[in-house]
Parts: sequence; structure tokens; C-alpha cells
Amino acid sequence: MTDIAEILGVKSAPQPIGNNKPLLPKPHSDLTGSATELPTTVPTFVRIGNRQINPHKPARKWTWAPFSSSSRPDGLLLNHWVRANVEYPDYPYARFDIHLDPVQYTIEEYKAWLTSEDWSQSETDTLMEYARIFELRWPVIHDRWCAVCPPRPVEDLQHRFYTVAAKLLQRRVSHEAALETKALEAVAADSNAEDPKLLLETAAARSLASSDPQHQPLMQHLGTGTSNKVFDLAYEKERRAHWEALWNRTKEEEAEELALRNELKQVETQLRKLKKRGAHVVAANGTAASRAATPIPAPEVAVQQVDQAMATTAPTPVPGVPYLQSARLVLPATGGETGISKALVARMEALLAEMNVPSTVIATKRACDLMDTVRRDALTWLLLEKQVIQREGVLRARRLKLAKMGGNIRVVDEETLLGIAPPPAPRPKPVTKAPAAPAATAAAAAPGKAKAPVSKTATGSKPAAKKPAATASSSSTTAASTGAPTASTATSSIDAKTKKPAAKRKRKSEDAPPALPNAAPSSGDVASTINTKPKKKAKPGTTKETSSVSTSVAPKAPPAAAAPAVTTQKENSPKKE
Amino acid sequence: MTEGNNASSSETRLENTIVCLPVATGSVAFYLGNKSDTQTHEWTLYVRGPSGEDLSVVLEKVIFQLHPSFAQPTRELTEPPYEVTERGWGEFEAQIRLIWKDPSEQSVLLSQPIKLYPPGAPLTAQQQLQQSTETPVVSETYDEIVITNPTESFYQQLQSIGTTPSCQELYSQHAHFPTYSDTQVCQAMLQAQKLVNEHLAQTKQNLIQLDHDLANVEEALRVQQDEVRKKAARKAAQQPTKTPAPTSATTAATTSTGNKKQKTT
Repeated sequence: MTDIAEILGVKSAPQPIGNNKPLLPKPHSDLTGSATELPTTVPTFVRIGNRQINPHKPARKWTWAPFSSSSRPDGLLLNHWVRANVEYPDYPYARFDIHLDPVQYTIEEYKAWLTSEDWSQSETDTLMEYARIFELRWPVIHDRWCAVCPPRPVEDLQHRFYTVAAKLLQRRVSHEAALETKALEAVAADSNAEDPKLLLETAAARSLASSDPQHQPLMQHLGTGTSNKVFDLAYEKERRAHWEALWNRTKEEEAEELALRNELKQVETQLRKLKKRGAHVVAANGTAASRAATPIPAPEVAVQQVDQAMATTAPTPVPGVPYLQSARLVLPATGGETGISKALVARMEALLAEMNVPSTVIATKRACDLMDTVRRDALTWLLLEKQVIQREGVLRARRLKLAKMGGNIRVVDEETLLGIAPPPAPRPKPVTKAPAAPAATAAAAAPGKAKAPVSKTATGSKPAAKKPAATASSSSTTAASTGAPTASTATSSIDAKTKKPAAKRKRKSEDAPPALPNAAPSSGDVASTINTKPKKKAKPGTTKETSSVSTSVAPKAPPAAAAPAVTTQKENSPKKE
Repeated sequence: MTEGNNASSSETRLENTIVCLPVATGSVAFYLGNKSDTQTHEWTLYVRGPSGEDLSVVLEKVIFQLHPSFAQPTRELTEPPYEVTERGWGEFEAQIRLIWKDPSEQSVLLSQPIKLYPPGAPLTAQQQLQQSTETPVVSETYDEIVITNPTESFYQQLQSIGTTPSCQELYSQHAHFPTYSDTQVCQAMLQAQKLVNEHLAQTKQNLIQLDHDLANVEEALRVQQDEVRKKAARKAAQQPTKTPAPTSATTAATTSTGNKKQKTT
């Protein structure tokens, strides 16, 4: 403060003269450090929470007194601190000691209504006693029961108890209803009045009295926690069995169940979509039997779908109503009725843009026609690609299942493909497959397929003739060329072979010696080794080859035995380029 | 007249015939300078044959529907040049209705916006001042009218369009008319089509293969499941009676090896 005054050049208030030494020496205190600067004052009020305590008043008196609780049957005396001059009539927590009313029956009642073949009277009595003592806490009752009597499952105990209670209640209600009818009828006879309430009551009482006890309306006897409806034993047993099964599921079973549920969801959505378009009849006809023999329904279904979608927005030619050519350029409708989604149409547009096709063209007839066909083909292709992916997924799942069940299928997992785990012993002979479907790895054309190795093996080429084999090898090389030049990948594909598969290749090249100078058959062999039929063991070495082609494993020194094959492969690839 | 009408309406229509009549509608707008606020541009709205064809052979009349702020917004023209020239300041959408000589054909409604300013972002103040009075703003739309199964006489009229001399010169703005060619676009689309078809063929083959594989795996799965079920049934049968144990074990062994043999072939 004083320095500010100095800076500002203002004269501050006159300061007291002298130093600030206290007149008396400080008394000894335990306070040290900064605490010594604090003034010691005696607080006038004590504050606890939000209550203030006046310290001048005397404190309350408490005594150590004995007490007993009304809820205790034995009158035990314990001591506790209580306020001195206050009267405590009862232990304050005795009011929480509540019990269910016991279900009781006389021996006559038992003999009349409650006898049973499985249960003796003593057992029933014990059960009732336990139920009363343990307040219908069935796990405890069951436990105590099994310690004393021949063991029964807990639902049997429950069933017996609730049946007894229900029958008792039913009989008693009927009995009382009979009494009441008599009384009311007597009153009605006396008064002879047409009181509607009285009439109703008599009618109600009479019906209750005369009806079968089983047909009484539900009445709950809240005091005992029972009712006049019998416990459903069958349902309870089933429920418990289900619960046990659920509890004892293994992790695998749980996973399987989840997978099945997801599959069900997918199938249901597909079915719903098909039903909306009315195409479920078509889909149902495409059974496994007809699939191999008749033309594939899947592309046809896709074509139908696309046609339907395009037809929704295209103008329909009507005689006498001319339309504009530009109306044919409108995009197909997306949504629920058509199987075409917005995303699919967007992908089609993107595809066309990639191929330098403008989104709108001049409205001449041939331009519109071409645009139409190009869009249709693109949509069909995209739809079929989706189906291919779906089916690959299904195929993979089925193969895994088959392998698990112990079928003769070798499912190659990622580890063996990447050469991490040792490959199993290879089979001696490569197998040729009759239908020469030169299914190229078009899956590679589709962008970014993660499960490339397995899918490639699934769609591997079948060698039968030179031409398909050639296309297969070319396609395998084109597949590889996503990123790496073909020659180097061809070599790496050979290089990446470890000794075992190299030995196998050697055997193969021996198998087809006369055909060696000709590039195609050996490449056909190479192609044949890509073959994985579910019934035969897959050749992991060759699957390794394709996978290494895709994952570009670092090349290893090729053994000399593989040299002829190497040269032929190299020969082959420049040819194909 | 009525007889004439009757004759044309009862006239038989050709079957499986489509006639595409090319038609171009557009607007040409000139900036007039800073003379007035309400008449900054002079524009011409027109309908023409793209290669200068004379459309009056098939057109009864053309009705231009302008913005209601214009006097007599409905303009009817019965012979080429089918154009309307006006002065104004605002852009709007004009409707053009083509009425055919054949009364059984429905009239066609075309919509053509009048563009006074070049496309893109609105002009800045500077750009507005710099507008030239010489270069027009041309906005034209090419379209084709597709007529399905026309009557015989109408068909003849449509066919005769190409033979009449060009009336392009009649249009006041014919100097600014653009020309059209679809060859480039068609070429691009043909190439695209080829590519897509290749992909499509490949995918179809894929699908065939996948279906085949799937059928095989399903078959194998079914066989396996049957086997498992048989084994379970056999085991259940074994337990109460002990004697058939060795025979059933051997039968189980033989059937399983038999299955394996089947699969290895």
C-alpha cells in the first residue's frame, strides 16, 4: 500500500509511530508457525451441520438401561444407551418383525381334502412347519428339507405347499359362501324387499357355494401369500430346466446361438424384402437341385430387380401421349418396393463416373438407349457382386462347420496360409475337376476384400483344358498385379514357397514331364494346385502360393528343383502381358 | 371439320412404331446497357428443330406461357419462327406447349428457363458494369419427343420433316444457335458398357462356381450329420444291451471308412 502511494506520489494517512512490539510477552502456547498470528477467541456458538448448540445449556442425560423386545419370544434382557427421562414403550424396531399367517388345517380337513399318494401326512406337516418358520423362502426350505427328509426337488415342495393352501382356501370359501347364502336367504325371506344389492349378494354367494371349487375366481389370501389357484408344476419344471440349460451353456454354444440369431435376422429381412416385391415365389424355386442343371436364378433375379426398378421411373410408351426422351434419363427409384437401395444407385453412378460417362447425356435416342443399358448392366453387376460376397460368407461358414463336425475337409486358416503354423502333410495326387468353369478371381477386381486368400481358393480355377488354365493363371497374375508388377509377383509366388511345397511342386513337374516345354499345362498344374474342393484335402502349399501373391511375402531362395517350373511360370507371365 | 376430326380419330395407328422428333428450346439474351432498370435485357425464347427443320408440318401451334408480369403472357404461334422476343430484367421459367396437327396426340409441355446472366455465381458489381451488349447469354435444351404408334397420316407428316428446306434463317438469333452431336458420349458409353459386361460375365462365372461349391459342401454336411446321428443312435442302443457292442463298433468303423473312401475319390 505504501509503495503504491509512493508511486502515485500521494501522501498516505499518517502512520503510527513506533514499532509493533506487543506490550506484554506472549504466553506459552502450543501454536506454532502461522497459527501464532491467529487470535485465540472462545467461540460463542458451536455449529454441527446446520444446528447450533448453545454451550451454556447443560448436556442431555443418557443412561445405560436394560430393554426387551416384544418380538422376542424369550424375554431376553439386553442393555443399551437411552435418553434418561424418556419413556420407551417397546423396542422401536419390533414393528418390523412381521410374519406370514400360517397355513393350518385340522386332521379332519386333511383326511377329507388333502390326502395324496406321494405325500404322507407327516411330510406334509413338516413342510407346512418349515414354510411357516422360513417364511416361504424356498431355497432355505428346500435345504432344510433335504437334510431331514428324503430329498425332493424344490418345485415339488412348492407344488405340495401351494396345492394344500389352495384346496383349503377353495373349500373354506365354498363353505362360507354356503353359510352366507343361508343367512341372506333368511334375511330376504324375512324382509321380502326387492333390494337390488341384497339380491346381488345372494346371487353371488349362491354361485360361489354351488360351483366347483376349481372354477372359483382368483382370490388371493394375502396373509399367507397363497391363493386359491393351484401352482403349475409342469410349467415350473420346464422353466427350471430351461434355466439350467441356459446357465450351463458353454461359450461356444453361446457364440453359435448368437451367430444363428444373426443369420435368422438376415434371412428374415431378405424374405421380407422379397415378399414386398412379390419375388419370394421366384426365390423359393431356386432350390439346390435345380441350381446345377437349370440356368442360375440369381442373375435372373438380379436382372428382374433392376428392370423393375428402372421401370418405376421410366416413361411408359402410350399411343397418343408423347413423352420426352430426357425422361428416360431419370435415375431408378430407390426404396422399399424395389430391391435397389440408394447406396447401390450411388455406387452405380460412381462406377460410371470412373468410366468417364457423364451423369446426364444429350437426349438423343441412341444416347438414351445406351445410357439405359449401361446403367442396367452396372446395377446388375453390383447386385451380383453383393450376392457373391454373401455366398462366399455362407460357404466359409459351412466349411468351418463341416470341418468342426469332422468331415473330410481341410479348412485352411490364416495361420497356415501365412506360413506361421506348419502346413499339414500334402496329398500325393492333384485332382482334376470335370466342369471346366474358368472362374477367374474376379473377387480381386472388387475393391479391398480382406479375406482374399480363402475366397481365392474357393473361386480357384479348375484345370481341364489349356485355355481355362491359361486364363486362370493370367487372372491369378492380374489378381496379383494389384499393386505389384506381374513378373515380380510371379517370381515371388514361386520364391515364397518353402521347402515342403517346393518338394511337392517338384513332384508335380515330374508328373507332367512331356508337357514341360509348353507353358500352359505346367501353369495348368500350378492352377490345379490352387484347386480346393471341399471333399478333398486342400493343398495348403499352393494356397500359400496364392496368399503370398496377395500378401507379398519376402522372397526366399528358390530350390533348384523348382527351376523348370520357375522358368515356365516366368515364360508364361510375359506371354500373358 | 367434324368429319375431318372423325376421320383422324378413327384412323388406325401403326403398330410397334416409335418416332423420335428432335426439338430444341432455348433463350438468347442480350444486355442492353444502363439505360433503364426494368429493361436491362432483351431476350428471345424459341422452339426450333435442332438442324433447322421446319416443324410446322407436324405442329399445329406453339403456345408460349410467359411470366404473368408480361402483357399478354400467353403467346400463340402457328408458324415458324416459333419465337418470342421481350425486354425485361428477371429470369423465370417459361412453359411452352406444342399442339400437334394430329388431334389424337396429346400436347407436350416443355419448360424452358430464361437465362439473362451467365451461369455460375451471381455477378459482382464490377462484373455487372462490364456486361457486354454484344455477346448474348445462350441457354438451350435439346430434347426428343417420342411418339408411340402414331396414326398413318401423322407418321407421314413426321417422316416428311427431313425433306423440307431449313427454316433456321427465319429465326432472329440463328447466328447463336449451338449444334449438337452425341458421338463422343456414345463412344464413351460403349466402352463403359464393354467393361461392365466383362465384369458381369466374370461375376456370373464366380456365382456359378460358388453355387457349385456350396452344393457340394451342403451335401458333405448332410452326410456328416447323418453319420453323427447314426452314431448317436447306435450309442443309445448300445447302452442298455452290451452284446451288440463289438459288431456295432465294427459296422461304425466300416461305414466311416466307406464314407472316407467315397470322399477321397
